[in-house]
Amino acid sequence: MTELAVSVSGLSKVYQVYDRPFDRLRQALSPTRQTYAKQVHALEDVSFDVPQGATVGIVGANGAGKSTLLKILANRLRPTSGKVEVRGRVNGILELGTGLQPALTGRQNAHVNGLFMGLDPWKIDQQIERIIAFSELGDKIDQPLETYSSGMKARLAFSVLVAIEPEILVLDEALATGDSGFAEKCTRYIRGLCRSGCTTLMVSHDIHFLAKACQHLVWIDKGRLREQGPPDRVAQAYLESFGETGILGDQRPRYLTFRIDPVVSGEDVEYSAHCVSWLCSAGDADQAPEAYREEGSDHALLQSHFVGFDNVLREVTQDALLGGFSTTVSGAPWGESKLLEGIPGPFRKLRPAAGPGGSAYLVLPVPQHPLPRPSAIQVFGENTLSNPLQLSVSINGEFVKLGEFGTAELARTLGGQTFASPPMDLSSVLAAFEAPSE
Amino acid sequence: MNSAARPRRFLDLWVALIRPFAGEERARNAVGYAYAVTTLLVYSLHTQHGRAFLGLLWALLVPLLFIAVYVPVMSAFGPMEGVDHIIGQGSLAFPVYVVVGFVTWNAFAGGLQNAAASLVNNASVVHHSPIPLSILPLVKVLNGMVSWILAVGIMLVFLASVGRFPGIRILIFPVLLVLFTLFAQGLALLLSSLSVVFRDLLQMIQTVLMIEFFAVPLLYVPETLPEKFQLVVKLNPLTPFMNLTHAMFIREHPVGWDDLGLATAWAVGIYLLGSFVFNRLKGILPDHV
Repeated sequence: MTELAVSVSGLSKVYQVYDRPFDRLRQALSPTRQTYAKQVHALEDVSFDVPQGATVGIVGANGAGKSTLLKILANRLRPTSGKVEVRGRVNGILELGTGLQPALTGRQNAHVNGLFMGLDPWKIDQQIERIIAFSELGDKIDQPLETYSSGMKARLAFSVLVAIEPEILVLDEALATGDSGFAEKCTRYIRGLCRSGCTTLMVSHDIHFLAKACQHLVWIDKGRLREQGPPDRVAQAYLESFGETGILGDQRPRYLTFRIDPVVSGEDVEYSAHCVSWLCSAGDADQAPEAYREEGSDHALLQSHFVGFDNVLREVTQDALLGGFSTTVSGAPWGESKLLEGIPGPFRKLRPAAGPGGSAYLVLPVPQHPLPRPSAIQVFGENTLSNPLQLSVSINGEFVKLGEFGTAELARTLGGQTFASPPMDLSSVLAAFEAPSE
Repeated sequence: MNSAARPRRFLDLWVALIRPFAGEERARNAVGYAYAVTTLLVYSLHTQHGRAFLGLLWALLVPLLFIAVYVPVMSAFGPMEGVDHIIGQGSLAFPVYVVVGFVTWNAFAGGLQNAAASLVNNASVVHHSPIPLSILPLVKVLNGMVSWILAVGIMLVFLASVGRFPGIRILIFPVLLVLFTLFAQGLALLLSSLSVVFRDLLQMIQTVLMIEFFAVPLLYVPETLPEKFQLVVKLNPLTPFMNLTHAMFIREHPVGWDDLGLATAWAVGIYLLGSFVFNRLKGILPDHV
């Protein structure tokens, strides 16, 4: 049996919330156990083990208690009850750039920040050189921080991390920063650490990254341990749960989780969708001035979400232009998406490559009131497989097949293997949300 | 080994000095703590003065400007009557009395105010850093003390130039410096941790310092006061420190051994109280910041 590096059992954290500031003082100094506070449970009865050298990812929605958990693991917060047993020296990187001061130079800030991160004074001189080398800031390192751009500050802040030689590393999310080249370097560095046998616990919203990098995922939901286990299974359950959240007043779900599967099992799903569009019935289109109506169609295009990578997006746009669409026309269907400017905001998550179960997941925000209720969904894209793909949508945790797509219908106009699926009917899916079961 | 850390010889030296008394691990921890404090102090001074055109010179210029302004103003009132045995003779006696008190007060009050807010203002450090949190107030207290040391230097040069060099009495300075730092750090530990759980304290500190300014023998000689006020001044914890400051600079001022005893008692007492409260609260500080 492998030895445990971290063992968490029955961990709870209750925050005290005070009505009056005076109560806070009274409580802090009170020798008795009387409480003057309202209690907010940030973590309740969380238990899990981390074997030596393992990489464990922690996922969960905002406010689920992930950061509280990390702070307790890094010994910055005391748990209200429960036990955390740690074997080894824990280095917690819960925030980058702690204590950075604008008047000091980059080099001086590396020194201050390094001290705040707990670097060994005996090694700090040499480590500062490593930090500076990693940051690639060159001569700028001896200029005051106030002259730095935010990207340069982020570079410096991340680079301090390089100096830390942890046994157990506790990392909070959004660490990979700066321009894309540097962000990649950061990610590589973190992966290298994980591979080198350093026990790592990390929080991230990038489930795709976690599923690849971790041996074990822990899913915290509203302060409780919802699920833990192999990354494939937990990542899948986590992604599927998005469909369950938030049925709003006009009884549309806030998000729907779609799944794209190969029809022939075992095939990879590669760049399966470039653009997913919500359609409404042509009759409803008058309510939405932005909606794009094509002559003779029963549907109008309500909103589109680009999914995938920069280069794919560029490709799609070029194809659209080559295909005879004018920019204004192509601009309308793509709605709020910005052409050629990276990945637009509205889509939540995509795992385009083969992942848990060989499927790709898309979590898309449903167009909300005052936009008319979408009645169908359409997928545009490029399918490099010889077989079509299958689109399903999650209703209460079960996936319902909407239809198949991937035959090159647009191939004649756009060339290559680009396709546009026929509109797939969503009305029954959305109807399932109309009367939420109590 | 290529990647072996370059040894920090002066750190090793300190460890070697402390090791016989405390053992290896505690010696290393103490030296590491001192290193962090010194480094942060240097940068704290740097941020405070570094951007000004004259830089650290300001720490010297401020007391000089004090002298330039207060000495003529105070001289205009003419010599004080009947307190020659305390402040000395001549038109410069009272201005010197006030200015040395002033620079001392400034160093103490400025350092204390910054130190009291040091935890509240550094929430991210409290939340995220593994360093001992007592470093934060200590750096600010020492920052005040450094400006005091510089001011004392300037005062001594000035006094020598007007023929009032205090001579052997200056030996009081290192003793006073230690006691004063201890006292200020005790207060800083107490106030910085309490103000995290009770924010109003930060506002109250300003008011109390304002009252305190008039309750220390700084703008007056206590013996000229009515008797009941003399008692208030005597009970004021800062009074012995101020008396010793005067005794250190002014040849005629009596050196009160009772002041030394009181200052020691206050310094040790307040430091113990401050450490006790700080240690009691430090575990819950991240919950409240």
